Amino acid sequence: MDFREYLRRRLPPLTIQREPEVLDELAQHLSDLYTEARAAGLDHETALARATAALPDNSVDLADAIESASRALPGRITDRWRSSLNEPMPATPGALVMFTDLRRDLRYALRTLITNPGFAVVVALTLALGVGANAVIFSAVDAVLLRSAPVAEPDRVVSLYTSNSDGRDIFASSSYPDYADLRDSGIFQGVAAFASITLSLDANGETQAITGEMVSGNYFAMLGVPVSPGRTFADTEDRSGTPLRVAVVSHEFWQQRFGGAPSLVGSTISLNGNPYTVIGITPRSFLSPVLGRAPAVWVPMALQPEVRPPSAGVRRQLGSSNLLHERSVRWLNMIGRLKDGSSVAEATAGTAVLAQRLSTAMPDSNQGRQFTVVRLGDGPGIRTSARPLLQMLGGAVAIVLLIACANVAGLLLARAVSRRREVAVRMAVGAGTSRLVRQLLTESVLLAVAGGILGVVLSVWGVPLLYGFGIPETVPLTVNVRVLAFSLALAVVCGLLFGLAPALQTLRVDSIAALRDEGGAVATGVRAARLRKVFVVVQVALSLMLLVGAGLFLRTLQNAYAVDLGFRLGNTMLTGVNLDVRGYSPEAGQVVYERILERARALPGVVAVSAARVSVLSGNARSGMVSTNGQPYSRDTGNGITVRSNTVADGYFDTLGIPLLRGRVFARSDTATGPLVCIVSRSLANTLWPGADPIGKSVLSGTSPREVVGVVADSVYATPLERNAPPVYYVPLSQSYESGLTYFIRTAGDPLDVYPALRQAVREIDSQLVVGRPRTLQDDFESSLGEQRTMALLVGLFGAIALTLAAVGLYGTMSYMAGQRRIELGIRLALGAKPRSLLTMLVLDGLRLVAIGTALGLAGAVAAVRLIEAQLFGVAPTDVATFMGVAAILVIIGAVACAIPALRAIRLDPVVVLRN
Amino acid sequence: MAPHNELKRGSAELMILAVLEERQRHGYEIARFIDDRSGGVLRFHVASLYPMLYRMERRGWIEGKWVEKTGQRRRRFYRLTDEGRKILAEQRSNWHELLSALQRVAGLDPVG
Repeated sequence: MDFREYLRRRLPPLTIQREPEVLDELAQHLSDLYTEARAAGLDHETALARATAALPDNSVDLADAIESASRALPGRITDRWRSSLNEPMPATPGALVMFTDLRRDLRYALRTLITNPGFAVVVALTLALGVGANAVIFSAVDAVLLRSAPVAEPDRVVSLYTSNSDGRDIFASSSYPDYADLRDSGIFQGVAAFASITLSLDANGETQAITGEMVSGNYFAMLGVPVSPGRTFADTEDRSGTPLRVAVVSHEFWQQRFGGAPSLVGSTISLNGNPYTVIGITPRSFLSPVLGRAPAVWVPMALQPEVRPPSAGVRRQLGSSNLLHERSVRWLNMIGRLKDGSSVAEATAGTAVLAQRLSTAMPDSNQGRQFTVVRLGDGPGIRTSARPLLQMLGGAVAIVLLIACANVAGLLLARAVSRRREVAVRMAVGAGTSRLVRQLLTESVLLAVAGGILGVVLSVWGVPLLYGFGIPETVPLTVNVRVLAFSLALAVVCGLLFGLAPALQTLRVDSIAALRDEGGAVATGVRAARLRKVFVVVQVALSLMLLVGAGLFLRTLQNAYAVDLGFRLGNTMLTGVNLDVRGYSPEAGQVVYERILERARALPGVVAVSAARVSVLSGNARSGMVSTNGQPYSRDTGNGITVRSNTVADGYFDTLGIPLLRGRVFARSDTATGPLVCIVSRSLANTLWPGADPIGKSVLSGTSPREVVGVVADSVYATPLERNAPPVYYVPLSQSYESGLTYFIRTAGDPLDVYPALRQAVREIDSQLVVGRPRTLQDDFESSLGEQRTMALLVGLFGAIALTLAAVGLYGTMSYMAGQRRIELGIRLALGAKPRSLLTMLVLDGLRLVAIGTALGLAGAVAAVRLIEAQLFGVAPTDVATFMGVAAILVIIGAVACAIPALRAIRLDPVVVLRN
Repeated sequence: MAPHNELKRGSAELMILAVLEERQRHGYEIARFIDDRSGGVLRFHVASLYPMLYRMERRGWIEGKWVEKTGQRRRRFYRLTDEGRKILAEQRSNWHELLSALQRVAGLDPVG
């Protein structure tokens, strides 16, 4: 009788060289058993059975034991260890053995997991959801909060601002002379100035708008950004009065527009119709020290009068376009580098002295103004605006991960109980405790890594959702190496933490009892079940908190959509045209925009056309003070109210559908030389002249009064979510020239269809003018609610994941508990209990956990909602309907999760149960 | 748990060493011999016997050698090495000490 084939089939393949010898030897042993049995007079079948019975049930263990024994260290070494440690068997005998041990652990873990793929898949998926949600948020945290600016020694780089004279806005723009004083003060190692501009690029017979920056000549040197190929600006190129038209271009622009041709440096490109010599190309890694900015071109600041002329009003006031000598006009941004070893506080103290000196010397422009010094990124910007949102979402995903981990721990616990026997066998054949713990931990870490990798895959899909928070697309939100490392580290930590308890639980086994039968291990089951109940309560509480958040954000979104805008959204296209690039005089500019409006009106399909300085729903607004008593506004007397203003062209109210309530709209007769007029919103009229007829009254904002010719209905200006929005007054474009306008075109059909014709019309008026990207008013409305929508979407998504995981956890626990009570249920049924009452009993048992969890969750939510209060709109953070609704949903889902296993449990046949 | 296991393993090692003292034997013979001598009380399973033999071989206590006899399949015979003899003597005296101590303390019958 040859048992070699039989063994080959029974044993998993061994990874030791002498496998054939081992098989021969074991086969010989079985064969001897068989021969002996036959000799004793047994028949073939019985003898065969006796021989094969010599092999253990779990052939994996045998293989493992053989391999482990065959790899034992030679006697001399082990003996030395034994004597030196006075320990029977070395637990961790050294790097070499640890490595082989690890390999064996991994192999064993893989083998065990593959034998139970359902368990492995559920655990990995659960962790994947938790880790994936965290990876999504971490990718944004990494890109927005953690990554440092692409400049030399970013820790020493600071943003500098000038405060308002009343000190209310400490992050306001600065003037060029103030910048020059700060630069030359010696407080900083260096200070550079920059301001964003839009340029029109002529290339290949096409005119295209590109974003650029005007920077002081020292900009790149101060930041420590090498420009190569080429060079950065020379001193002579940034000299006011005699600037040179030179440009540094970005790596991306060079690649995309010029195919990376090395000949670009030294050649000429056409910007705003003027020839510029390209002198250098920035490195690929450099976009801007300011997160989210990605200029294509940098030009010297001395070109300001040409590339960034001030608004028409300022030009009129100054009689010049040159702002480089104007201390009272503040328009540029500053960035500085601290001296080596100097702190922000020291620099602030230094700037305070300078500000005081300027304030005394030039009170007209500088009284009360201070300089603000903050670390790069701590001023207003994406980083500061995204931080609270990311913190909130970070909390949400942490909850999701906790719930996932609780589920995994629950699953591992259940498995630990069912593996008592295996563990007992392995202990009996000589596996040490630490060996077994390591083995079990290897399994959970392996599962965690699988879950982590799966989670990263999921996050690749989720990351783009974050652009909904107004993070510009120039900020790369990607699943990079850091995100990967973070996710895997997170997964491994979770695997270790949540694998440890079940692993220790498994070892608390009386091996003899476990080997004899299952009875001795019941205690372990009870302990595990208690722990699982705690997990369920925690899961329910946490998912309730998340769902309350999701509910509140959903209500916020609902309320935002329900806001009465006061104007029509439909069939309206918006696009911007800026006349600055051509340097028109106000008079010439006035003619150009009127011609554009005229041509647009004549386009087929167009119903109404107008233009405005500030586009509604863009989030921007012009604010000012209006005098309440006819005297010029002064801070001391407090005779003013804050208002919003806008400069609009003819037909604005008609195009947007804002109803005229009294008087008239602007007309052609409102010319620059005629009497100054304005139109006020109803709320402004009611505030200034309650109960009186506003028509003919005069509004004083600044120095020249305007006569009210009409009253229009209130409408949303900056964003639908603004609380206590100030009232609005409108000024006719014909009396207040603006060079940059947004055109509103209402059409009968699809509004975007008229864009090509409009572009053609503008090109015919002036081929150098750039028509901006078209969008619809509906688009702007949607994007104005982007943050709320994304928040509702993400928190809703995380809430749904949490709810699903909690339901699965509850279901698993209830199934397990019902299984444990099979015998009890069988006895009850046999004694005549009604299945219905048993069902109620089981479901109520589970619902008790849900109820405890819900109560804890509600309390937690009440405590936590104040964190999201600022993001809510039109709904109280402790909105009773939301709280109760979410609790009801949770209880219903909880009841279903309990009912399914309970139904299955009572459908058993008492005879079958009791016989077993 | 650990000392108990250690005791069990130690005793198994002692038995194997002792069985091989007078002459070399193959695995089945070892198991058979222990079974017979103990009157069926001590019984080795394949799952514990062979790993233990391999481990002892790695430690250099015993040495296995394939022996072929005409008309039979080859068998692996194990014999005691010098190191094994030393260990056997050591273990014998340890066990003797332990058992006589147990005898005195627990009042066990004298070992035969």
